Amino acid sequence: MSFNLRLLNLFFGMCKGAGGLPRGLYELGFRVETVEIRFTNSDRRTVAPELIIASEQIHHTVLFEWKSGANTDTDQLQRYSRITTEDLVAKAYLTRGKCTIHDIAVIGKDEHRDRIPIGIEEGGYDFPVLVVVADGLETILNGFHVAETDAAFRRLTVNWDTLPTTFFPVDADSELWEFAEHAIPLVLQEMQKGSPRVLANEIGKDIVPLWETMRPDYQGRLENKIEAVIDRAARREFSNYLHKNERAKARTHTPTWDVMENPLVGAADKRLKAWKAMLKQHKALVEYFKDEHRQEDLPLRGE
Amino acid sequence: MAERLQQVMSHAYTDLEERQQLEAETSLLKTYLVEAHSENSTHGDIRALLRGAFGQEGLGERSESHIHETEEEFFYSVDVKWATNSAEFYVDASDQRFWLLHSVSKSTAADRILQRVIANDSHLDTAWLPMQLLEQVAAMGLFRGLGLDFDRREVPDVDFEAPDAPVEYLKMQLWGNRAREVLNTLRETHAFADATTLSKVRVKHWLDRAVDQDSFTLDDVKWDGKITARGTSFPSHINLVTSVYRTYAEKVKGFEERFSLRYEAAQMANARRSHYTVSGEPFNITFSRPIADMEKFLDSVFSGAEPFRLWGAPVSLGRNYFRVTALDLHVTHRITFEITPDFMRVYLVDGSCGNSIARLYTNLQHYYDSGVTLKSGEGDTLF
Repeated sequence: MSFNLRLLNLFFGMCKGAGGLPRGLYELGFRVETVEIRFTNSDRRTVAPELIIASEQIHHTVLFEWKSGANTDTDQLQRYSRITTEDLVAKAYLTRGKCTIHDIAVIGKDEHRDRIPIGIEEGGYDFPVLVVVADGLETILNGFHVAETDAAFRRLTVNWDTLPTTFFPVDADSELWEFAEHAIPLVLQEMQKGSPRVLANEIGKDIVPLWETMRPDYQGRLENKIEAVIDRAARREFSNYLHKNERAKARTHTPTWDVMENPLVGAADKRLKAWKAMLKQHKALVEYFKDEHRQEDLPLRGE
Repeated sequence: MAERLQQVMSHAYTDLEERQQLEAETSLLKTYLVEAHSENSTHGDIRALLRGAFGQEGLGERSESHIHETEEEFFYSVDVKWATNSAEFYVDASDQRFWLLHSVSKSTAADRILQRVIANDSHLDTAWLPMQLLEQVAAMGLFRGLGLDFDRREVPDVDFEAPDAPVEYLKMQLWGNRAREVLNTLRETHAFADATTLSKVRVKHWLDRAVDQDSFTLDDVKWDGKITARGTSFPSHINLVTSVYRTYAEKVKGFEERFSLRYEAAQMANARRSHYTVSGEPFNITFSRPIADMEKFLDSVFSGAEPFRLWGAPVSLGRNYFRVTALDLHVTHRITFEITPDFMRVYLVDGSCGNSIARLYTNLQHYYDSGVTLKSGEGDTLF
């Protein structure tokens, strides 16, 4: 799972009280306000934090910027520094009671702990800087302006091995096995409804939250991965049930497969047998994509 | 319909009183709580659903059924034969999702037919009453008895021959006023706390005791939504049934409202841009002791078979951490699980059914761990 997805899922989990995570932020009343918002600061210049969380209880808002690389962007930091409470209320739609005080927090990787603070220190900004360490998040520069929030973040212990993954399950960098894991149940759901066709973009909408809001090129990258896993399924594990319809794409504008045989709409006893068989096939498909040494399965000519 | 059921109920009670037992073929009034999902829910849609479920499509070739409409909208009667079983059901679908099916047919036949109908039809499910809800039911009248039913063999992730093996199964029935005392004793930590699962309560309930002391119902309320009535008053029975089902339905609908994950783009007033919000939260399920063998546990729960009806391939995300993107075969909706030996997070997608949670939790109580808890992010227990 990418750095971005891990942090998004972590903060969503913590702010929603998901089991197995620290409860400090939740108990301070922090909830997720918005993801991937773009708005302008007091200089009318655009800022786009990855995530905003806020607490009515302690009147505190935190805007997060995460950095998977080693460097910060001087101009970006300057733009963040010019955000005011008025901007948050008028343009980011926070209620005033939640953003009396706000912080911009930058989170990076442990391996970049020496480089990330440089731009922030040089610019004289007081943004807290945190890095992802083996057992959680460590604040390495500055602190939050509200003592309770600062205490919650100061060595925030997280078991990264049991992180939530479901709020944002995949992105364009996710592995094919992850797409297989999510896509096949949706294909079968379509079959159970009696749909004659399976469309890649419909599967995408169900797997990837906020699909409709993504740029077409990004949707295309996701769609390619969905296509790769359903293609393999249609050639091997689910070849009795699915067949790629290359011609239909001209009309549907997305990779399309026809449902040929559909035991999921037949008699009850046969249905149960079919579900059982498909569970084995689904497991085999995920295992195939998990295998790093797998032999690529290419379509035969004319297939 | 009410008159007929009142007659049968009081007749059976008189028999019981006079002979102290029912003749083998005499039938008590039974009410089954059934949850139905229909894309549309007009009177005709529900008739069609019943036709499919009780017809050969649902019960198979060795069956025959007739659906009769009554004078009232959303009330039907169903005559059905399947193999050697025959039964008649009176269907009250006045709440188009949470139905009541009454029957005075032989219990074994009615149970068998309904079990098969529900197993085979993806629109229907029973209500699943966890033991906390059964205890609330016990408080709706005089608590007169109980049944316990715990069977760990359904999810066999341990060696039952091992010296420190947990309880394999524990079943008990107890009638009388001291039921609660026995229940409390069994639940003590040194007794059978993680294997004492309430499966049935017997409760004596009056519609209005102050007005008429002699008009009452003595009902056995089971965890699978079957309620068997004795007593003298059908209105008292219906009053109890309605109270139980209303409590249950509110829970199920509340789960869908509060917990389903919804991703929404809200348009900003002064811009062409949107900002994005996510509502909903996971359910937190915690076990009273760690899952002994994750693979065996997952294979049992997610095989797609009864009683869990969850289908999914567990995927390992790390040591002893699994994710299952499952389908609930009741309605074939997606439901995602993240599972460690100590806890489980469960995510409902928008449009999925809250009954899935009630079924999962209730079955975990009966087949895995009586001490399992179901909580929200806030930490409040959900039943």
